[in-house]
Amino acid sequence: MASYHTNEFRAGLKLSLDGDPYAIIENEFVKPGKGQAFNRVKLRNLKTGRVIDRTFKSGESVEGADVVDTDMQYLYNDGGHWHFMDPVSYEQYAAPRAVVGEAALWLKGQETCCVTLLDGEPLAVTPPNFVELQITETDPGVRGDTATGGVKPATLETGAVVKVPLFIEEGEVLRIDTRTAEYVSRVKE
Amino acid sequence: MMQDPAIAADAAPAASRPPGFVQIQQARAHLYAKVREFFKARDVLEVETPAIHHTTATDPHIDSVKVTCNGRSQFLHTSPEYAMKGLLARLGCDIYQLCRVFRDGESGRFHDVEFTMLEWYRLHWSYRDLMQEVDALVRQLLGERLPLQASRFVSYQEVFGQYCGLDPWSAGREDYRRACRQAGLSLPAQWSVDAYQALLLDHVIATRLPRDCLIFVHDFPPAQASLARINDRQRAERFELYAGGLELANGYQELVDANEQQRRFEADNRKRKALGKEVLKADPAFIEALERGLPDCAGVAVGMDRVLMLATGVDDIRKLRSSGLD
Repeated sequence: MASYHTNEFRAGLKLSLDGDPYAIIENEFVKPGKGQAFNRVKLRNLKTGRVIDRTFKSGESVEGADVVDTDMQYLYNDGGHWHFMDPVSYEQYAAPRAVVGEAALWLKGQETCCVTLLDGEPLAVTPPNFVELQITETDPGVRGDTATGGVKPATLETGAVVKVPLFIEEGEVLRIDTRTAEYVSRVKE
Repeated sequence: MMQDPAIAADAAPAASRPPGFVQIQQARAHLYAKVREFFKARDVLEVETPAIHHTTATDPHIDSVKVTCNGRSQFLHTSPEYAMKGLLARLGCDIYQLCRVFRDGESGRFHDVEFTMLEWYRLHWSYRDLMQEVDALVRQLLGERLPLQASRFVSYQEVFGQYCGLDPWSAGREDYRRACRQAGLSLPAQWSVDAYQALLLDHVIATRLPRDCLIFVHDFPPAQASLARINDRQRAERFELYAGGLELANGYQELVDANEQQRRFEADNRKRKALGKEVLKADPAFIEALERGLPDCAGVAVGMDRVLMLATGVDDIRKLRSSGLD
């Protein structure tokens, strides 16, 4: 199994710690001007979902987790499971709610997601970095107000709620960054 | 545009809009103009030293960027310190420099592989007087944007006592491990005391210091003297400035003893070897300056991008770049 140097640490990287597979959620580089540098890392245990903090000395290497990341198309969900298909093998995989986690907020169908498999079972689902979703509900837009920086909540077709600028109208299609759950732009029809 | 300093280093609230590209550029220009005005009024000469050198910092925890120049492998400076000390010996007057410096592998919310350093030297000054001058400058740079209470001056020993419940001059590895555990850090047992100290200072103490004032932490353990003089009480005459949870500056009563400096270079290289890093040659111009006789002086480096973060409320140093690496 490959091992990773701390300067390769980034969100999403899968590491093996104490025999369990973990995914990096957040990696913070910490260093006094003169002195040892550290990576303070927040990781999710891919088996239990538990989030832990670990501190590594910068320059250390950590073994990668024995998992396979595969791009798969999201097909549908039946409430209990979210179904994905590997577009190469046409093999289908069912991921339970707990595994899909927050990714469910952004999926309406057809999206290509990164599904992490351990021994052929889905362990985690990462949605595309950007998705385009329609607004189903928001307060009426305020015309001309493009500069004051005010925001309001908007509900998207998947049920997710994001903060949007005041001039956005119901029915508009938005581009959303799923990593930050933030509005990026309007999508022109 | 301005945020409370208490939240400047944390995530910005969703409703506040971060400053745009134009405001950041303007704020940077404004800061540099104020720096130049400050030193002009105090008769400190602005100087410039090369960015490309044959030799580089031997500090075991700083990695230099290597470049090929005129067919030779060279280094981009990680700080203008050695070159400025060489100049100091030749010019014999107070000097300052504002320049871009480069450090390989340093990338995070508060670190970037290149950043702007303001470095200056005062001949025949003590580091305690220099702390006062740093205070005066930083108050001028931030004062119009942040309400700052009276500055505090506390020793390294005091902050470790207050925030970690231990005395760095007597504590052992177990004491540091306990302090780390109490701060919620789970760490391997085999780290050195130096590593625990660095982590506690940067990640525990710095984040708990009051955020409404400038805090000068002074008198470090001898093992962390770096290029500072160590006095008879076994205190390295070194200080760091913290503001808004960030380390902004690092200053020394400069070591001017050529023999002691040579020993520190050798110690750095022993540590580098142990860490599996390249063994480096000492800067000959710097050694020559020390041998010729560097006058007693105090010097300090201020990270201007962090000052700019506090002045603008930007929460990630990499957002200050106009372009460049991801």
